[in-house]
Amino acid sequence: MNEWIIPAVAAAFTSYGFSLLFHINGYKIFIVSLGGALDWLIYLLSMNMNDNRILSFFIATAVSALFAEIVARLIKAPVITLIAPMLIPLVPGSDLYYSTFALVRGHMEDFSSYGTQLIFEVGAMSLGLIVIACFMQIYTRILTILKQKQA
Amino acid sequence: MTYQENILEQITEAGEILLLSGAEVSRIEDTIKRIAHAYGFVRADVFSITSTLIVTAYTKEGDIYTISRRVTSHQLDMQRIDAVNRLSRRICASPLSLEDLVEQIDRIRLMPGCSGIQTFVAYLMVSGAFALLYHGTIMDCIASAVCSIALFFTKRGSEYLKLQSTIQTIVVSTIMCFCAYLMTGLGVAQHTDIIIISNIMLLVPGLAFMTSVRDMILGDTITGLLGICEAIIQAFAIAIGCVLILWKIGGGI
Repeated sequence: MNEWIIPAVAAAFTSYGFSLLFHINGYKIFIVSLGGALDWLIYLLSMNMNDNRILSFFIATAVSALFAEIVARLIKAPVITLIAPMLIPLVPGSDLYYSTFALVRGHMEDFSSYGTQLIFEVGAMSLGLIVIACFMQIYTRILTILKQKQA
Repeated sequence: MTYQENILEQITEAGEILLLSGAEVSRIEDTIKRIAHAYGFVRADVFSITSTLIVTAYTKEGDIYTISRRVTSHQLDMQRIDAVNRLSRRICASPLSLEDLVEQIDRIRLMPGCSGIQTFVAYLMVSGAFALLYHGTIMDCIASAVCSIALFFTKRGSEYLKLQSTIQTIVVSTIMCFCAYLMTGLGVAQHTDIIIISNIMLLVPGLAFMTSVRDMILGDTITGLLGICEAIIQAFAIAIGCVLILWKIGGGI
């Protein structure tokens, strides 16, 4: 159990801390912290299931982005205010460090593998954001057209 | 200034607050257009990149007004974005008088930002939690929190000196890396890498990157490219700061 609960709580706290830094107020902080925990749990779950870091990054980003979009519509808040602190636990700072470290140590093979991994992870996160943004735009456009037809 | 110029100035002010606080460009353009239409402008063209905002509005009488703003510093603040968002919804429902509009915009602009103590607590929390997230021990967690104190004061100091943001990042990450090595050197914690990564997280331009990706997808390619460029430079600055320390103390190359 510990391998699930401790990371989830830690992820929630990182999101909580970033909500303070981004100056998010009131009850939204709790939604964001919950989102951070959800984000990391999905990543861990996906890693458990198929052991593919890049795919897990994509899935975790997409699910949290969808969660953020839905919640943002419910509470009428800008999406970016929720999505940014929620995704913080996923930001691949560790690969940035390890690739720099490998470069300084002169381990060029490690550098290229960590560097490539970093680029792929950032790419996977962007792809997750992009897919959800596409989906939401299609959904809202269809909704407006239906409304116009009704009126 | 005519009435319409005054209104447009306030609308641009609202757009500038959004840009300063780190909103996506599509939101800025959308908000300005909506408010301008609510105040009876027949057309509003908005162009915005991370450092500039240009608004041109056409009145019914055929007058054309343009206001441009240069934005140099950004202070991420979601509360302000939210406040402008709510104000714009209110205006679209029923336009406020000029005095009310000025008052509302001033209120949002003068909203207090994130206080020093809040930032301090947030730094401790984020770096400590990341140490646990990366499977660090309790001592690693405490050591990262101590490093984040050093990071906080260095950042405050370099902000006080009004250093350029890239240079700020280099200085801050250098001090932070040094502090992490000091911690393991003194035997407080074992994992230098975990301590450094936990503190790097405080500097990584995650928000800038995410907004830029969203901007690019929603059709603002130039803005998105510039934003991603800034984020990459920021990431390089962190790496440069770390390299300076890892090179000497880490015994590399």
